[in-house]
Amino acid sequence: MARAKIRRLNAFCAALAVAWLLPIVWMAFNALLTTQAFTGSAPLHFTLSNFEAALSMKDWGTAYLSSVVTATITTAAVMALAIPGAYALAKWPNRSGGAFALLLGTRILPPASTVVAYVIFGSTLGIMDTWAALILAGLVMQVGWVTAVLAVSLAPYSSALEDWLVSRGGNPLTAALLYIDVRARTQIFALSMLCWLLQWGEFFFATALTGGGSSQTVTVLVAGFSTGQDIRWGPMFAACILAGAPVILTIVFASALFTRFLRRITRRDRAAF
Amino acid sequence: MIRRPRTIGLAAGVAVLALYVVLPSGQRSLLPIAIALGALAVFGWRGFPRTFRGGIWPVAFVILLLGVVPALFSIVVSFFDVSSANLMNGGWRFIGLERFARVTASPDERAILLRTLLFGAACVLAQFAIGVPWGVAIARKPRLNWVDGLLVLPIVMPPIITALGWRAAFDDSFGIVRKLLLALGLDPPTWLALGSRASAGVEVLLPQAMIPSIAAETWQWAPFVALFTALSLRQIPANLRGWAGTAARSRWRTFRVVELPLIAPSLVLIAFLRLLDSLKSFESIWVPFGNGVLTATESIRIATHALEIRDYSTAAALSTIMLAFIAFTLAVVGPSLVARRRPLGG
Repeated sequence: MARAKIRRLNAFCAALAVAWLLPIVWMAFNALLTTQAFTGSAPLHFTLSNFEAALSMKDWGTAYLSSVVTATITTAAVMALAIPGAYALAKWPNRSGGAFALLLGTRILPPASTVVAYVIFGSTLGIMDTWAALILAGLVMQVGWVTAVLAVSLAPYSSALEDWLVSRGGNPLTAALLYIDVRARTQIFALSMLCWLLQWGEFFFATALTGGGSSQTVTVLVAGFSTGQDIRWGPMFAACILAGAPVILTIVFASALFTRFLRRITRRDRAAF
Repeated sequence: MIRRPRTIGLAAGVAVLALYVVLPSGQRSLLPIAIALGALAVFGWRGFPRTFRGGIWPVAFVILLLGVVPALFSIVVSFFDVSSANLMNGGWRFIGLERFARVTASPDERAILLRTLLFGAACVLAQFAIGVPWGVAIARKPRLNWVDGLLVLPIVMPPIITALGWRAAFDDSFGIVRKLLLALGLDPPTWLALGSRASAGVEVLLPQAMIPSIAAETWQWAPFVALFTALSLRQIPANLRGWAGTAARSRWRTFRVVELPLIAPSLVLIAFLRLLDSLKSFESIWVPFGNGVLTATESIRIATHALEIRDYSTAAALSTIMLAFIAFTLAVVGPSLVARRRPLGG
């Protein structure tokens, strides 16, 4: 392809991506304006008062702590379980794809179908409005798809590579760990980040299991800005930016990692099913 | 390290002690959970040097215990009269299929079920109408770059923030969508007022009021469809694409005659999965409309019964219907879609 054509294509795709992300920019822009300014009843006037109002209205410290703790522990637990699981799946692939379908199916199953049981179990065990409840709910939502995608990344299994690693003096465990490291380091990093971010943004179980109590996460806290008849739009925009900041910053700074992840998934995906 | 059980035991003991000290008193229930998860992970990793296959068992155990058992328990609850009044005292009266009969007999509930399906279909159509051409453009590039990595942002953006943003964008007084449509000389309806109306005819299955919810879902998932399309197209071997380009002469013809048939099974599979995923959408509908009659879907109804009315039996009956529909569709349609998706170039 001619160089000018490639440049045009890259510019077109970049423009499309930037245009798609404009709603986030619009929210950030509005968060910096007075309510009168963004409703058009006053000239543009930039201010940080919305952020001050948002921070003073709710208990951000405990909500941020709750989100960080639950997202981090859930991600650690998911990866600790998913890595050996994915390795086992890659080494002994299920020809029918049934195991993959089952693992991915956990992502498809509606949280609503289990929420009644979680509320009843949680009340009985006395773990409602605790981090433990959020971690358990997050674990079951994330572990299946992470294992499946990681298994795709490790396939096709190369026994020659592992034999070589064992022959270099390693025991089977060390060889397996090296094998995973060689084949799927990028994918493990990217999936850990995705898992963390998805858990950070989880809302349904967070609101069902904490009910806006002391263990509420930032997503539940932000939802509190939209309830009632009179929504305070300025602080709501600011709250959205505050709650979305870890996600936005992670993706912006790690976009190269995700690109590498996408490239590698494409290569591995050929042999997956 | 696995070979040194004493070291592991000591490290685990120190970790538990540290956790006990660090955790606020209200969060100490995390301790037994952390110990159980740690034991499961050690079990999975210990499977490594022995059989290696053992690695999958902890994952299966977690899914069974935390996913399958609660789903089955919900089904059981739907056969009993369970509400906040008798939740903890155990006096659950067996009512058989009464809740199912009530739910399926109600015209409102039937309309909600149909609306949920139509909402899912509308979301998938919109996502594919935008995502597939976008993916084709991405696939034409010689290689993916960091801009393509940015497309992950809408996918992982907390859905509640996406929903709040689109609720504001469609606001009837200052929303940017309304302003844009007015600038184009159109007369947009007052979406949010329409959707939040207290009483509505059940004959309206997918009201135009749901456009803000469909927009939020499309914004979040169209990049996923675009990336998936691009990755599927990039799997087509270069020599086949080159040959097709020469034989078909035009780019559109190459896409229509060669590339689209090759990636169609993958696209159908992902459309199916997206449809099932859209059926469980919650935030994009709940934020702008709450549990309004005109816009409620199954997820909203289940959440309303489980978390607001606290009629767990009805919530469980509704969730069982939804679960049965998704499981049946997955079991019947899923395997044939997976089987059709042959590896390309392999």
